[in-house]
Amino acid sequence: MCLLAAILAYFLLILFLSTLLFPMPVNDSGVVRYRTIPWATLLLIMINTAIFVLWIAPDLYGQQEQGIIIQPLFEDYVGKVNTYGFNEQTLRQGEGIAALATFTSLFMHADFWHLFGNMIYLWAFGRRVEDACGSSRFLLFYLLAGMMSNVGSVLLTSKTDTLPSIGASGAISGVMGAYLLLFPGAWVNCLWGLGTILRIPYAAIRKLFAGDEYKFWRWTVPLPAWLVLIWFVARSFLPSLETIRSDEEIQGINHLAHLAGFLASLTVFFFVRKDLLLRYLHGRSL
Amino acid sequence: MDAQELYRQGVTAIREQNDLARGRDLLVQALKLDPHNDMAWLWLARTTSDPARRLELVERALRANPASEAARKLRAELLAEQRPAPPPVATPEPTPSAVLPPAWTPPTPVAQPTSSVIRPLQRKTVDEPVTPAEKERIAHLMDRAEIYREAGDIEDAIALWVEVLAIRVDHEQALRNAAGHLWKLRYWHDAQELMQRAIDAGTRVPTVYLTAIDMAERQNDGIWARELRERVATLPVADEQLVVKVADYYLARHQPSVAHGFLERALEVHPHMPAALVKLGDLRQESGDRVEASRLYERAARTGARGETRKEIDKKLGSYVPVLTDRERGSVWLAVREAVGIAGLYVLLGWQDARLDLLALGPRRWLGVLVSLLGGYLVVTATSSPQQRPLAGWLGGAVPPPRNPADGPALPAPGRALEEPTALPMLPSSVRYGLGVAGVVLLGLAGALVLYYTLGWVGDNRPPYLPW
Repeated sequence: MCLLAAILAYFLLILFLSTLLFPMPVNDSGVVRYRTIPWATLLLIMINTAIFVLWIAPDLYGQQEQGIIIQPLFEDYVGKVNTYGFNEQTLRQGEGIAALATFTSLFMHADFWHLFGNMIYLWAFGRRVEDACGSSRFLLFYLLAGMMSNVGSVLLTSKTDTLPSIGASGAISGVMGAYLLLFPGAWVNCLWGLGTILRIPYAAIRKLFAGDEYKFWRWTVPLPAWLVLIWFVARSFLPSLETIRSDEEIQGINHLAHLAGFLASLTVFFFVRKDLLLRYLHGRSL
Repeated sequence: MDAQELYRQGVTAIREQNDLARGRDLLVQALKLDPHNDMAWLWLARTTSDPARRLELVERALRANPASEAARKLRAELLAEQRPAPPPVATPEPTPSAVLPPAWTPPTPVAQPTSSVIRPLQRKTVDEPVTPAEKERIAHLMDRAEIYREAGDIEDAIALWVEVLAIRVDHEQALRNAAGHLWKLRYWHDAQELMQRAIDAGTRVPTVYLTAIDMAERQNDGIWARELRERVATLPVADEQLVVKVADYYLARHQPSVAHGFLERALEVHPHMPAALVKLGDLRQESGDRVEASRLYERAARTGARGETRKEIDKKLGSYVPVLTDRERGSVWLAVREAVGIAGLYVLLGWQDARLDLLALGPRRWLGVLVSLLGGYLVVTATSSPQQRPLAGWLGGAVPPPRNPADGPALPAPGRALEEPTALPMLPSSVRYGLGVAGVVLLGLAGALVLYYTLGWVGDNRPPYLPW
C-alpha cells in the first residue's frame, strides 16, 4: 500500500514539475460534431498501453536472479527496440523485419513517461479528429501519418541513422496537425501550473473591476489550440534544424519525425468525412 | 379675447391637457363669435362620444366650409361606423412596427392633410444622388418640421416632411413621421402612397417595406401585402435582415404559413442567406420536421456565415446528426479520394519494402499500389459511398422507400447517415457485401505485392538483426 502511495506521489510530483512552466493539453473543450464514441483513439491507447505493460515494461523495469546475482533485463529491452523499432540502416539493408518495423515502431514506447505523454496528447487531440473522420478512416490516417513521420525523418537528413526510433509521437504529431487544420479556433484544456497560479490574481482583478464571477481555481487552463500546437511545432522545429545541420539527434529525441508527422497531417483530407470536407472547402471550420 | 384665440386655447385644452369640458366651453365661445370656423366644429365633434351628435357637428362644419376635405372624410367614416361592422380580422393585433402608431386612433379632425399633401417627386429612383444644396434643404426642412411638431402643429409638420420626401423619396425619418401621422389621422391612402412611392423608387430602407407590409395587413389588403412580400423576396440585392424581420412580423401575427412561404420564396431567389435558412429551419423544427430542419441548418452552415450567425448555426447543429447532401452521396470523386488515401498507405509500404528507393519499387509493387486503389475503392463503395452516380444505378440500386413515421424517431442514430431519406438509388445489400469482401481480398493481395520482400524475409524466420 505504502509502495503504491509512494509511486502515486512520485507520479504526481513529476507531473506537477513537468507542467509547471509549459502547458500539457489533457482534453479538448470543444463540442464534437458527430458524437461518435472515439473507439479508434481508445483502441490505440489500449494497444499502446498493453504492449508497454505486458511486453516492454517487464524488461525495462524487471530483474532476473542468476544465482546470487540479480541481473537487469535491459539487454532484452534493447533487443526488442532494435528489432521492432524503425531503423533506417536495417531498412536500407533489408534486415530485421524490414518494412513491417514502420508499424511495430508506432506501438512501442521507451519508458512510462514516453507512453504517458503520447497517450495524453492522443486523447486530447485524437478524439475530435476521429469524430471528423470516422473511426476506421482515422485509424488509416493515424498509420499513414506514423509511416510518413518515419520516412520523413529519414528523408530530411542526409546521414544514415543507425539508431532505432520507437514511439507513436510521429503519428500523434500528424493527429495534432490535423486538429489544427480542421479546428483552428478550438480551445484545449491544459495542465499548466503557471497558468493556474496566474489565474488567481487575474480572477481577483476581474472580480474587483468587472464584477463578474470568474472562478479563482481550476485544475486546467483553457488555451487556444493553435497556441499550444504552435508551441509544440516550435519546440520540434528548432531542434530539427539542429539535427539537419549536425546530423545528430538532439537529446535522443527524433524531432524530425515529429516535424514530418506534423507535415503529414495534410493527408487528413483524404480521410475526413465527405460532408465535412465540402464544408471545409467552403471556408468553414468544422 | 377674439374667436381665434378662444379656438386656439380650446384646441390646446383638448389636445395637450385632455380637458374636454374646458375645451368644449372655449370652442363654443369661439363658435358664437365665428360660426364659420369649420375647424372649431370639427374639434367640438371630438369632445363628444355620441356618434349622432358627432355627425351633427361634422355636418355643421361642412355647412361652414363645404370644401373641407377633412370634414368630408370624417363624415364618411362616421357614416361607415354607423353601418353594421365587417367581421373582425382573424389574426390578433400585431406588434406595432417601428413606424406606425397603434392601429386604432379616434378620429382626429384635422383639416389639412389630404391627398393633396403629397407632392410630385423630384427624382424617380433612390439611386440618383442628392445634391449638397438639397441636403442642406432637407436638414432645414426637418428642423422646421420638428419645431412644428413640438408646437403641436402636425399639419404643417406633415407638409414639410412630405416636402422632404419630394426630394428624397425614402428619407427614413421624414417617411416615418409623415406616414405615421397621416395614418394616425386616418389618411391611410396618403400614408400608403408615400410608402409605395418609396418602394417604387427602389428604396433599400428595410423599415419602409416593413411599415408598408404592416399598413397592408392592418388595412386587410391581402393583395398589396402579397405584392410587398414578393418585392422583398425578390430584391436584386438580398437584404437578409429585412427578410428575417418580415418573417418575424408574420410569426408575431401567428401566421407561420405566410412566414414559411415568404422565406421559401426569398431563398429561391437568394439561396445563400444563412439567417433566413436558420429561420426556416426553426419553423420546420417547430412543426416537428427535424430532418428538414437539420438540412436547412446544414445549408446555412455551408454558406460560410461568420460571427454570431455562425455561432448560432453551430449551436443549433449541435443537437442534430449531420446529414449528407445528394451531391456528397452521389459523388464518385469523394469516394475515389478515400481510395487514394488508402493507396497512399500502400505506396509508403512499398517504398520502405524497396529499401527507401522509390525508383526500385518495380512493376510488382506498383501493381500492388494499383490493386490497393481498386480494393480501397470497392471497400469505400461498399461502406460509406453506396449511392454513387451512376454506379449505384448500374449495379441494380433502388431508391429506398420513404420512411414510415410509425417506425420510430425521424433521425437515425449518430453515424447512420446512410439511413436518412434520399432520392438517390442505393446499392443492394448483397452487392455491397460482395464489393466489400472483394475489396478486402484485393487489399490483402495488394499488401502481399507491395511487401513481398519483407514478407519473404519474415517467412524465412531469420534471426532479427542486433547491433552486437
